[in-house]
Amino acid sequence: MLQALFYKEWIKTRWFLAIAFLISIGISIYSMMIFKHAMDMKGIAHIWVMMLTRKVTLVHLITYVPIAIGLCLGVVQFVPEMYKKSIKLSLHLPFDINRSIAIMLLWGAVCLAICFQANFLIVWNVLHPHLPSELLAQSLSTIYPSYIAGFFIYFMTATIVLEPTWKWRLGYIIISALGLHLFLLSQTPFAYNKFTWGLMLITIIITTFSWRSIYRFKVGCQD
Amino acid sequence: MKKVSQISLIGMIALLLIWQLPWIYQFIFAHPQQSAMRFMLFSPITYEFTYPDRGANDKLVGKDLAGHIYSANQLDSVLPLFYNRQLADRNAFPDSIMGKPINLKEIQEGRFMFRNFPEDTNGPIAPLYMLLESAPKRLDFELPKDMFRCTTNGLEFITMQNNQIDLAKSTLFTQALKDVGCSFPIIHLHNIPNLRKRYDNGFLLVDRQHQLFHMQMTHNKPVCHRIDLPKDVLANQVFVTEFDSRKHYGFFTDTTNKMYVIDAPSYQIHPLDIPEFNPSTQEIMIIGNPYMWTIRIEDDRGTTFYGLDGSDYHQYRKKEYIYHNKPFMGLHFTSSNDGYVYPHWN
Amino acid sequence: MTAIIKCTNLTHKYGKRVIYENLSFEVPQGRILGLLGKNGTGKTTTINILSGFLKPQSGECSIFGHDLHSMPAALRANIGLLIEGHIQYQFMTIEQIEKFYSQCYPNQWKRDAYYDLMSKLKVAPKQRISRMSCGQRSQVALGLILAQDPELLVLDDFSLGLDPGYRRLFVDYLRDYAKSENKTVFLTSHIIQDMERLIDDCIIMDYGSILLQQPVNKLLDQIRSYQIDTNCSHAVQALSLDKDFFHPSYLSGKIEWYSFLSQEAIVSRLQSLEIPYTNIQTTRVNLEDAFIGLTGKY
Repeated sequence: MLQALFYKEWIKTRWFLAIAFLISIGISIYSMMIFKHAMDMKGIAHIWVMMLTRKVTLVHLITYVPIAIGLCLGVVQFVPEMYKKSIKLSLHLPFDINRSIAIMLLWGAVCLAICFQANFLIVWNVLHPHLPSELLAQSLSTIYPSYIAGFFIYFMTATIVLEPTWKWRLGYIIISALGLHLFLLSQTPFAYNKFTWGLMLITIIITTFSWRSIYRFKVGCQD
Repeated sequence: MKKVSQISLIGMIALLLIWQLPWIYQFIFAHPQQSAMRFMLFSPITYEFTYPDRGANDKLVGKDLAGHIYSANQLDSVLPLFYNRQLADRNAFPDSIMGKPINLKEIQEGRFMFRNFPEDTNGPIAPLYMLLESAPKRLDFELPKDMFRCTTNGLEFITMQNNQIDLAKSTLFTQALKDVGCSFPIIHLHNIPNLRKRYDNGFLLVDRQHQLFHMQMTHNKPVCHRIDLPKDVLANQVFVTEFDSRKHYGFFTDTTNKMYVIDAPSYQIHPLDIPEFNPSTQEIMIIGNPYMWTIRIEDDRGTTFYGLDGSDYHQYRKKEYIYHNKPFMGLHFTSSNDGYVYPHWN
Repeated sequence: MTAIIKCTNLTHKYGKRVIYENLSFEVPQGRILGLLGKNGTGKTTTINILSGFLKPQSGECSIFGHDLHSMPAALRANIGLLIEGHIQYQFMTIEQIEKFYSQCYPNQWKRDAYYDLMSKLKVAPKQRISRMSCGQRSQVALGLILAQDPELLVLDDFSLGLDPGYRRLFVDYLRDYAKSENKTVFLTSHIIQDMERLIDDCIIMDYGSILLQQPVNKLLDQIRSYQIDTNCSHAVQALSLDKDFFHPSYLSGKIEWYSFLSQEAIVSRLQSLEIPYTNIQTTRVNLEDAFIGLTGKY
């Protein structure tokens, strides 16, 4: 069962994943090239001072990339399922529906994790020889919320696309906008240190919304 | 799973409503605090809080809390230290203030402004610090070669060029502090990491026993002093100042929120005659000169102005403004008191 | 004969509009049953209920003895579903979709049945389904169902968008398969000529209820089209009141209607209603005419 479902998700998303992976590592490579260039031009000491006094993070370009990838993956993965209600095919398969949906979402989450991990590893590998742990944490503390936001927007996009009625889609869009706003309240380094657990909890909670959309589809809710 | 998703949805909607509805209500219906007074200075001439305002025909006038209204020229004379340039331009600067003869150069060097916001105290920072050479060879400050962090056992200097710990320097400075009685870890420290300043006062530090220390680096060597505190005074938050007058090392508050100034170079400390100042929850602005200090302390409750003597810091007057419009109750995720994002109920 | 599908007292509404109330029917094993009805009589509603994509407001529906909404997931392997429009995963090719479904039905998959049918299509194995014509997609859908080899086939409007050639191919393949393997088929279509070639039994739905359920050959044996010459135009109203006269209509001196009664019985009724006429004509009809006769023209 797992093999079949993963195969389907792979067919749907493979080209997008390749592009997303390239963009993910591309943007981090580009950010690090800017860092390296600044280091060559001004010296590493200048960068330390800028980071300390001006709270420069070196990774501001990355902020919205995880969110964009999460949103696009949700669209690429679930819009084909809802095209002419093809989701009926998936729901008719001889698999437990709850597990089927879980596997589809798990696929997306794992793909996002791979993209974000690649992005993170490039940043960490380039920065950690040159920066002390405090300044490294300063940089990375601004992209953790973005990664979690990427997962958040992916799960909400799945929910919105799977929802059969426009009334509730609009409701979910509002929830997504407000929820995403929560992730972007501050770009200050370390701002989310006290609430990372909260962002993760909210993201875990909203994963269940997709099941609600599917249940509503199954009982025939419509506009 | 169906029940779980329903409960999750209700929970999420409830959270967003609790967050957004009060904000929307306040956005639509809030009006400005009517009692907010942003700027007043205590006059060393009239011993009244005086402020500039706009009179008829939008002309600049001065007003004080006793009800007097001054013309622009009169306002200059009532606040001579603030409007010293305007008075000097008209050759109207007084010879003496408060019975003391005036030295214009001393006035200009002696004026200062100090501000601290709760966010400065509570806000998230990378716990890394820059110790400048206090006596640079060519007078201009140079970028240091290292930064230091506070560990449980002392200070650890990290060379910026290679991101390696400078063990020798770390040991040197840690021992210098221990020699003056410092008990690590340091719980609070402060400096002004600006290369464009005129001089450097180094760091003020508070150790785990709430004792107060001063640290500078002169010719690459540590210069550390323990600042003697009165009995039962436990230092809490510290603020280095580098005013042109060079008369102070900075301010500090103790664990009971009493505020003190530290004289330079004697390290004598003087309490400021204000009831309390909590840097975690209150904003402070001090506009000072050798004769008079005006202190404004603001928090959610209101704004209080104090007029203090510039020599012995005793209080002449105080004026309190209480806010009538209470902030709307609701769930907030940001706070002006710190830079963190986390849920709290206002 | 055991009933593979059993629906009892189904009631469903869309808002205030009642689709049907207390609808009950059974589909015996090994029979091909066609659901006929005008637009809006609830055919797709019934299919959606049977496929588990619509919950009726009341009533029970079971397949293989299990309630639809609590059916074990593995049992769905025995139900072949054709969605209206021959919808399949647009993003897959012929090869990919076969590979996918073979992994979903590993114990029963008949790869040869699928590729046999695919060989008749003029498409490359790597052609995506989204780039196929409606007819080609219908063959892919049929091939997948044949390969799945389910006990029950539920086909929603299997002829939608197909030209006569593809429709004939679909019907012939399906009947041959269903009869040789003793499969049960429940289907709907708007092309009644195709239904006539394919189905054993029919359910004709009218607004709000089932008009009749019986074997097609029995229906066509019994139902007749009748026509009389008469100048008595008000006779139509009198005939309309008699439930054995279906949709009488008057045109140019003739009254036409459909009925299950024999000619002798018709003559007797006309006499009792005192309707003057000449020249009564009786005609055997095909399924399409029977359907129109029973449900009326728009």
